[in-house]
Amino acid sequence: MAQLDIESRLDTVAPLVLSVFRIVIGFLFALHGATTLFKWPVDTAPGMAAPAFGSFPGWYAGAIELIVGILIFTGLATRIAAFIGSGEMAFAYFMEHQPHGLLPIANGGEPAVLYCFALFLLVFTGGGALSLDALRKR
Amino acid sequence: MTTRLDTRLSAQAPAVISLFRIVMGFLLTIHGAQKLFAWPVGMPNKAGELVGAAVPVGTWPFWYGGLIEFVVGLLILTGLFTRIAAFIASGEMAFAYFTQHQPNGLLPIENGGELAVVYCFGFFLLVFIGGGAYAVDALRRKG
Repeated sequence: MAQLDIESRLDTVAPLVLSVFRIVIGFLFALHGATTLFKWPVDTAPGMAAPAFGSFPGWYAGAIELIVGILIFTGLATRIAAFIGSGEMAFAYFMEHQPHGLLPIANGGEPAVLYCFALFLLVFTGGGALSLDALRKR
Repeated sequence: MTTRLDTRLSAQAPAVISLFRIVMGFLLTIHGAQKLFAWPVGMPNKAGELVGAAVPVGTWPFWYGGLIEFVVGLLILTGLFTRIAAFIASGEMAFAYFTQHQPNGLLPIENGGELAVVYCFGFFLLVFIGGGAYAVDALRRKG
């Protein structure tokens, strides 16, 4: 009984925590886009030039990550943005990481897997209580 | 129109929550197994190859980290005591982030702590939404 009580109290706060989760994922995703496109705010691949405008797949990946990341961060068009981001991560995992090993822990694709499924979850849950989508609905 | 699609997607959310939970639990379990048993892949050696020996029993903090990850990972994978297991995992990841990664740089993308952050907030979310439709917890409630 007490168990159910705390569960329903946690459930009440879930839309808020969902937004916190969404903001963190969007922030980190947008950072990946920014470092790929502009080598800013940090240069994660020193010695390698940023991908040229329009080059496949690097530039497109960076552009998707930056735009989708900002949309997820702000919670604008969350579900469709998350769908695109999730698809990009699935593509990245199978193209870039899967050939290097069976398990995500061995092939370096663990972040790609986590982003893929986290964004896939956001397609179905939406952006939560604190999002531009929630404001628009009002 | 958009609202109708939103409603239909939301109706599937409990199943997708379980999918997310299973993936997160599986990957966390693997991290634990790597530290405890050097299986299915070993610990990274100096060159970054995953062929090293397991963490010696009782070593602080990595053996304890591995133990938590293995046990809690299995609980989350199966969806048994999801919320409390996720709470422990989330706390462990926060600890790992601040003790292992934050000193190396400001942003998760530069201090190597990005995985820890994503795990931390992913598990924190599971504390509040629970294990979803396909979980041992859901079976227990029915039975």
